[in-house]
Amino acid sequence: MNKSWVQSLLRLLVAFAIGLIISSLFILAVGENPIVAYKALLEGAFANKLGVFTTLRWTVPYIIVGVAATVSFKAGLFNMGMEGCIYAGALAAGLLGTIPGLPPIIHVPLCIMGATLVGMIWMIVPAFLKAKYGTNEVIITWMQSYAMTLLCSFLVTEYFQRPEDITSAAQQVRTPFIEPSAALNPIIDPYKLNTSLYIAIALIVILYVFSKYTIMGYEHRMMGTSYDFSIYGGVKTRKMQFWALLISGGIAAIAGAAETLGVNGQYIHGFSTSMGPNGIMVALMGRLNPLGLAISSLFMGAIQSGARAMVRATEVSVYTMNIMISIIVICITADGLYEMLHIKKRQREGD
Amino acid sequence: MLRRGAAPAQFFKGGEYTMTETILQLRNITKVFPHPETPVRANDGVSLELVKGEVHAIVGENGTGKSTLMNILYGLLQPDSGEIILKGTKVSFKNPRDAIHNGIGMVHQHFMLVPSFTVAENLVFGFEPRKHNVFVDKAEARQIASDISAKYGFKVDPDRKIQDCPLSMQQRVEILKILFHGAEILIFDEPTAVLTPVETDELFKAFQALRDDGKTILFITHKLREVMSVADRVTVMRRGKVITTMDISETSVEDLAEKMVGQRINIADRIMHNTNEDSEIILEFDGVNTRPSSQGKSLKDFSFKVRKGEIVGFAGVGGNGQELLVEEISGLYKHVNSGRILYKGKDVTDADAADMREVGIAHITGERYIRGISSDSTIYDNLIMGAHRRAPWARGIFMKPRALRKLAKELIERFSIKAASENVNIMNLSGGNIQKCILARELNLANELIVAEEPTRGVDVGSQSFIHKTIIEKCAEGYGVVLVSTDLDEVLSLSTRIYVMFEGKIVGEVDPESEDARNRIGLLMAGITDEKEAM
Repeated sequence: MNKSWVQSLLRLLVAFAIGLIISSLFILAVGENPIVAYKALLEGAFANKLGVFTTLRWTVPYIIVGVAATVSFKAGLFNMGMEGCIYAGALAAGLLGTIPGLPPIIHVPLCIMGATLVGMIWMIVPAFLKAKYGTNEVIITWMQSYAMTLLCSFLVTEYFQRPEDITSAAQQVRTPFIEPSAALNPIIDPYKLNTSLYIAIALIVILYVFSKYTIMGYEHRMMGTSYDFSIYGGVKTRKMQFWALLISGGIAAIAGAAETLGVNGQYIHGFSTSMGPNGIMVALMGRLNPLGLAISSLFMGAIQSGARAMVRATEVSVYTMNIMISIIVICITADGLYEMLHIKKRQREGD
Repeated sequence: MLRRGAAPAQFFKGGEYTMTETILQLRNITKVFPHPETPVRANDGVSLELVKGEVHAIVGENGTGKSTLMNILYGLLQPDSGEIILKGTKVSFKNPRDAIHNGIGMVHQHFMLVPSFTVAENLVFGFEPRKHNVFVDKAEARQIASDISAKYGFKVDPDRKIQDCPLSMQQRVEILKILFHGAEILIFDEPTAVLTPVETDELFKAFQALRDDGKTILFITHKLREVMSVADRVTVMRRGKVITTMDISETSVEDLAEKMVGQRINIADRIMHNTNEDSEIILEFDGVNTRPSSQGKSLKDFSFKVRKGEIVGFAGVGGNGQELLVEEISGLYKHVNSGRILYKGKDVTDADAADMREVGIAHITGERYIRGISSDSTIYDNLIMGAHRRAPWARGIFMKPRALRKLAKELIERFSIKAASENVNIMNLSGGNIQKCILARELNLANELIVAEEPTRGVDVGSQSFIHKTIIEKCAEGYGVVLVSTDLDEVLSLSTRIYVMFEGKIVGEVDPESEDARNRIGLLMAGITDEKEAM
């Protein structure tokens, strides 16, 4: 292991420790023992087969959204509209999944590609405005995200509502079930962890190869680090910005598709519990590094699955975990803090 | 006039011995900047003696602690050890105000003036004459301004706003300001960096006037010719230490340069270029006019040709359209209204930066830290830009990391970049080494054309001569070079032909070999095109 790896790991541990200590204060404040709470959390996430599979089941969408966020962050862009893309992708996959009479080998890729396409199309407007006029992408993607979430709800209620639900009392906004040929099957029944895990792993590998070995990957990274340097170096930055946002949206949509095809079997409005924002957290925690991303997704997945056990065992609220994650992200992204702790050593050459 | 004379020092000046008084002594000044691993000894036991009424120059490479020493003297920094003795009394300045009260004033490289205030208001700023104890007495301020400028023979217009004044006048206001504060010792940090040769001459005349008035002048510079022409004594610093203090009559430009870098270098590294009219034209500007940039600058009717194997120098005072010229060539700013730009006969008038990179130009940018490097990246990442998409280092959509790593290592070695490894952050390097990184990367990319913009600005003398040598080598290999520089010595000693730019136009062409090249360029730089007018 080289030095930068050790440093990354140290940085992660310090951030984690600070997050743990501060959230302990909140747990103490509600009159609970933090150690008991953390123990319950860990047990819930890893102690039994159900816990482990639930952890992994949540890890998958976090990885996918994390990759999507990384693609935009590395280019120096903020795609705040991933939540909208997730819903768009989920709905697109849910609708395409109802087409009967297709073999799985065609049906599954069709649904996923359809979702990706919808996610990319949804990003065209902010991407075009950013590349052409330098418009701030944060506001537009963010606002568009709300628009898409509401649009999905409208479309389903108005046109695609599951026929049985219209008459039944349980007025949930959801589409009919997908055909079995479109389903991403569980890896081991009856757990919800499904073959979308492979998609997530593939995305991580592609991201790694892309940023390490391709021309575009290098330019993409340099554009994020120094925009002026990239233009001067001959990088087609406008084109790059445009495609970075589109691809980010497309990948986020895959996360939605995976939830529909693998977990729910239909589009259920409200299925995403802040997956978009959490994906940003994951990407930041992983410091935009493919392996870091996998680790931070696993961490988020563990919290998602263990938090329920913790709530059952103690009086601690699930939101305490949000506090912990936020603090970890702040600590990881705060370079100043890191330097203050003298972990990073700088060598000055010459005089 | 002096209260208590220190031990009188003798020094040789213009063939006669003069008895003089030491006005200021710095004894064993040491200043260490803390650093977790390698603390920087910016000043290491520096001793210096100023004689009343002399012009004393301090020369040294970048990062040798000249500015640190001046900042200590001006109260901006406190020394770790050592003492300052002013007129025989030990003093310590907690802040610049202390220094000002003791008669020490400093003209910074970047002027500390309020742009929206008039000359008079700036002059009295901080020490304003009051009316009824509340209001600034503007009439009184104007009176002070004209009195003091008349006293020293500095032409300034008291009612003009600073933002409307040329840089040379702003500098005069700075000088008058510190004189108004009662300065007896005037410190100048690189005072001629922003001036034309004519303005420089004026400044040096002012130095003489001040000296005749009994003021003592201490100035930092790296322009050795200026030292020779204006200073009485010179102190050479190297790596935080004083190497020597000499009378100007005892030294020469070559001697000073040698003492600065510690080895003999040839400053007039001129070579004979053999180009002729038949050499292939690489770059041609044909009557190019541009729309005004955001600063309201534009190129006007710009025509020139660059042939294989020649270095075409563009001289001029900074801000006369040089950045625009470079950006037009490199494609970074494309606002051509009329005219054409041709690269080997191909029209590249509307080509953007990416297109020009594909064509294969090297662009050694003057905006070193803004676009020349990516400051958050490693040396490796900075060196491979451009090469990463070219044939031996890339195939299809993939880079060849091993080949690129080899390239980076080679470049570091060939350009003797002082770096621990290619994986450290580029900002860990010194300015000269960063510039060598840019040079290494760009020259590796050049197919036929090299655009060098201020290639040695702020670079130490050692790297400077290396960079010059490399550019000359490339020229001899048949590359066409466009050299844009505000350093007249650089343009004169490197170029085969020189164009002088003034307000976005080429105002004249000068043969660097000709006898009066320096003078003619000087006049042209000031916009004086009519020789008679200058006489």
